[in-house]
Amino acid sequence: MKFQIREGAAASLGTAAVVARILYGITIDLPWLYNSGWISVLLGGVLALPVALAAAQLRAASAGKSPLSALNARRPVLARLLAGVLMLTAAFDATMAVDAIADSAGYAALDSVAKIYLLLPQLALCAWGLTLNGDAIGDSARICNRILLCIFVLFMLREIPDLCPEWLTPILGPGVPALLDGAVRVAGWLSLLAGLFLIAEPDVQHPANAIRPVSVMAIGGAIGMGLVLLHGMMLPALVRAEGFSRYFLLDTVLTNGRTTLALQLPKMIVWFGSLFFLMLSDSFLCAAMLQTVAPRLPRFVCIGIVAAGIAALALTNISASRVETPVGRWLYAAQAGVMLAAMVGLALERKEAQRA
Amino acid sequence: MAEQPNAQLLRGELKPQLEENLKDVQKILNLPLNKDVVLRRYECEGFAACAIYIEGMADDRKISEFILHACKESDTGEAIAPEQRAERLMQSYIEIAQCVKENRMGELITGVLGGMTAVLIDGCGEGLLLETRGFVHRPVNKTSNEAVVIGSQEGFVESLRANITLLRRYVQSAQLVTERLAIGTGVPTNVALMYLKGVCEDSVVNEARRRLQCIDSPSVQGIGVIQQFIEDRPRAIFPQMLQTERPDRAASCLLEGQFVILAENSPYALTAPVTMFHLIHASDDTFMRWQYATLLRIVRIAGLAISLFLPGLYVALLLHHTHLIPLTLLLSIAETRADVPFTVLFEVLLMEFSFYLINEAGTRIPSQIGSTVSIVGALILGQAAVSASIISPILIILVALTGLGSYAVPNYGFGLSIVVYRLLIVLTGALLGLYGLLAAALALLMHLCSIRSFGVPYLAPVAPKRPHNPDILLRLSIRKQNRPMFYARRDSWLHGKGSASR
Amino acid sequence: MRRGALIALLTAAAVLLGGCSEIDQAENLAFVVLMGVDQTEDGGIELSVQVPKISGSRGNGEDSGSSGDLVFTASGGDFAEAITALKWIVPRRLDLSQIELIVVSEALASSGRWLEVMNDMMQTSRLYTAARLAVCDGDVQAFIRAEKPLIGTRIADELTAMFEAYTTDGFVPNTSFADIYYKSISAYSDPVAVYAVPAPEESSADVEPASQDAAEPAVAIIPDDPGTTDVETEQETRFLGAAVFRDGRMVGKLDGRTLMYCKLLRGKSQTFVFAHGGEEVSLSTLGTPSVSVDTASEPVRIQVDLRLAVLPNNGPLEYPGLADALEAELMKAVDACKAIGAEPFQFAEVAARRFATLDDWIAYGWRERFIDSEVEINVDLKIENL
Repeated sequence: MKFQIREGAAASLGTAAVVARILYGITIDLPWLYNSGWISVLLGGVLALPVALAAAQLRAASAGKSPLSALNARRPVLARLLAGVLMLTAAFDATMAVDAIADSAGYAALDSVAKIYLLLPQLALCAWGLTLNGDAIGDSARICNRILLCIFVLFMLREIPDLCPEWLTPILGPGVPALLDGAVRVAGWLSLLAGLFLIAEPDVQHPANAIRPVSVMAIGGAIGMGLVLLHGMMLPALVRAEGFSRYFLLDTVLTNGRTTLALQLPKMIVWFGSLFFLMLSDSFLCAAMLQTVAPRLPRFVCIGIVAAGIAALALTNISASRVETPVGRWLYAAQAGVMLAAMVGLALERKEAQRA
Repeated sequence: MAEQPNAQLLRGELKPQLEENLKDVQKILNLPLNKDVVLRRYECEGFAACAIYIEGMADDRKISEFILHACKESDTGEAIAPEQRAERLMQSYIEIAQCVKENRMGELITGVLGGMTAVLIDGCGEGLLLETRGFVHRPVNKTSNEAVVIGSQEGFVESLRANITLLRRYVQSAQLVTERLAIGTGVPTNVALMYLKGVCEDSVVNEARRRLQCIDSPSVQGIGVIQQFIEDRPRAIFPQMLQTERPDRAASCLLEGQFVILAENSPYALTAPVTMFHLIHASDDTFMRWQYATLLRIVRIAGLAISLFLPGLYVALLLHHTHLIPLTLLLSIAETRADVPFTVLFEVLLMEFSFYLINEAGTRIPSQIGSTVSIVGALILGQAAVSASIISPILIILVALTGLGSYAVPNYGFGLSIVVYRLLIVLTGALLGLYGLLAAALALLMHLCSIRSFGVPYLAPVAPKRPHNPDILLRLSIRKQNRPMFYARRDSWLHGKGSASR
Repeated sequence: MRRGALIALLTAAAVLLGGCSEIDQAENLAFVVLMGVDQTEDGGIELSVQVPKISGSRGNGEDSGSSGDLVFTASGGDFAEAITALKWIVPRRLDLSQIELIVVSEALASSGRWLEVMNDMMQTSRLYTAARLAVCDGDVQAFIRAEKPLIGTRIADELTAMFEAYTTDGFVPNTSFADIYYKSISAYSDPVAVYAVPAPEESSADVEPASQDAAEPAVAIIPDDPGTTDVETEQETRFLGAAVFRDGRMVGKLDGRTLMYCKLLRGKSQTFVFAHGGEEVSLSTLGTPSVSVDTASEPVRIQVDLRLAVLPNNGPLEYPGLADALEAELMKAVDACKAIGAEPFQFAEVAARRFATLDDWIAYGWRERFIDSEVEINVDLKIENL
């Protein structure tokens, strides 16, 4: 049985994943952007826009099928190559997500528990989600998006009096080079949606639910940018901090130094909820691409490989060097390259069709 | 598998000789051992006939008045050709409203077993099957498990005919179709599949019919058993069909494009396709003003959430996240727990077990001593346990709230499912804190999203998004409820233009 | 079947292995409600914690009354060592997630070590950093021992009630420990913490207060009301005014009245009473003050326009000289902070808008420029009469 996801479900899942990735990435992975991370998100969105436009073109050209299925039918070698690249990028991001959840669980309560014990429940959840397939994951993301948004609005109403917009200035914060570097990374995170756009199956029964890649990316990016802006207004730029430990950064986001006890519980729920969907989105993408690369692998085996592979990666030094990992910079290049190759393939086909 | 006895005879047809037929009938029905069966011979127009019926199942008065007496009164001495005797009796002599000719022994026996009377005629290879059912059954009364404040107070009973009649009273439409099936390869049970033609999707009806016909069980003794056979995921804990004992609810389902299954001896109707929201909605939501209905629905959903998550949240916070509990409350809990010898997890599981033990005992206990259960329950769960420091007082409140929350769910099966998942959430919360609890909640949500009910997603129309009336979580004004349900036919004649209210 | 087996295997592994090794029941934890941080004579760190006693209620509904509290003290070379030492002497597992108040001695707060200690505290797992921070004049251990539960059965309800009252009146700042830390390592305005003074053990008329500065706030804040001078109270400490920090080090104190004016300039909504011309005038802020900072000029020019409303009363329709008097008091507050060398008015946040990057802003050297700045305050009064 194939890993598949309906386009409506893909849109919900992609939005949840991208928002979580942006918030976590900017506040925890890129703390040196201080309170100007939102500019990186904005620039990253602009940078990633061509990826969304390419995805829209590919979807329009493969009516009735997902673009990757259509490409696989016409040019299987190219499809497998592109799927391979997307599989690796998704695996990398899934590893980061799994790490993020493990760190958050350690922050919340289980700080004295070994990492392997924090990974296993996630992997069980990942395997369960993959077994139920993409529609179940995406539909649950659609519901959670609404619930988490309500919870978020409730606790933001309480925190509004403590927001200080002046802390967003000086507007360029760490300077243009740092912001551009951040923008490239954000573009890489947003480009992860490319994989979902390529595998989402059209909802022929309800065409009103058609996915619009540009809208999905714009909405996800806008919400992520809004959250980063709010975070920037909650504490001043910590320019004199002596290094940023993962625990300290999580504390700035989740406790923030003034969040009352009553609000920490809903914050935890929103935080974990969004990170789980990031992990599920990346691992589903990884599994779907693996199935494209190796179609003879049974679905059950794919699930095992993905879950075990992500766990193994999470226990290595790749994730240990997570704050300064150089791989993140190349995420955008890899995914944009995939879309470019797909567009070139499409252009060639149209040319051949015209000649014929 | 061995064939049922006399299977060959049952597959056969009637012979012209009455005595031969009666010998076969006696063999099939185990006469003279079986004292319930009555063979009443009589004569009419010079030929012999025999009425076969089961005492208690058939109405003696109808038989004596409209068959025996009618035949005797109409006896004119006219000679009737043997092959026309059945037709003549049916047309001119017998005064029973429903009468069919039947030459298959199996059908005649099935009819007799169901309370009908079979008339076998000497010289004629056809018999008559007459509607003479008159067995005792419970009268239509108030529902016991789906009480409502506003709305019809009638409930289904064990008679299939009575239940069909109840539904037909609510849905008086020429398009209401009742298909009759006999389910069970050994001892069949009469089942009716009802739907509104042109409103319910043909594919759904065909699938329902196919699944019913594929039930390969010797006997099916109730609607609950049928449900387990034909559900999409019988191993899932959540029910994927709605059981209701209210005719008005079943009628409402018919009008929305669902089908209804009724079974003999079951005072419930089974409807599908259903979503989770059908199981949360109560019948009287529609009959109240929308503001009250919305408020009560919110209370119900809050009760459901409390029932599912409160014990797990309590355990998770107390064991792993004490920093999320306000100090005053935390110290109060700690002080009351100081003398309790058990861990939080054991205490919660013990209380859950006790609550459901009392619940189950209350359900099974004879009514004469039912009040004892409430006294015992109050004593055990209340004063004594807390005084003896077996449990902390806050846990009484917690378990009470949890129980009330689960009883606020109108559907009994759904409420039981919540109990099972609640235990899972308590365990994950105890082991892993909020992390485990949220992971378990997400796993549950994904499971719900993966369930289908005759092809309809369980959490539709919320996820996946489908066009719907504003009647899912909030129930808005009845004037806005004019869209066809997303699982009904798109060209439904019931929900077309002009059928909406002003 | 295989799917089920895999899921069951993973779930069993998660259940068996996941985080079940370190579970403590709530009644077995020692919840720290007050934490005191002081420095030892040899330069180490001394920690004092107040922990409520959990006595058990017996479940019979009887009121167990106050459970009492315990105070433990330990010291070490740094904060981490001191916490470790404390864990050895506290008989139950220490839980720092419910701290209501962190008290630091003035000596430690004024030393260069306090920022390092704050850093260690921020990195400590599950230490509730949203607790209030108070600077205490004198011995922190004695200060903590003197804190008694007076309201209800729970420690520090008195504290919460007092802080809420004083914060509303503007006499103490509403800042948390983390706020102090964040502002200490940022490049904006300087933080202020609550300043606390232990009351003398006998009546104040007979005993010299520990320091003259500490006595003044008490006199300035408590109204000179004959009805209250003889009131006996078990509360032995006074939380009055603020300690001002700069670069993670306490550099001065502000009394309650001065702090209230600072809060007005920061834009905190406030209702207060001002004595003018023999009368007490009730005033309230109208919106936030308009602050403009001209960073291009030398010296820096800061203009503050503050709108206040005179609350309805049966008094006169106009108050000649009231605006000038208010401006004078506000300027005194500014001058007091300039004298200390700190800027707690959030003028820095306004000034930072004019710079493109943080490096440019830091290179500007705001604090030194503020000390030499020209500040102009305009008070616009709106008189509302019945």
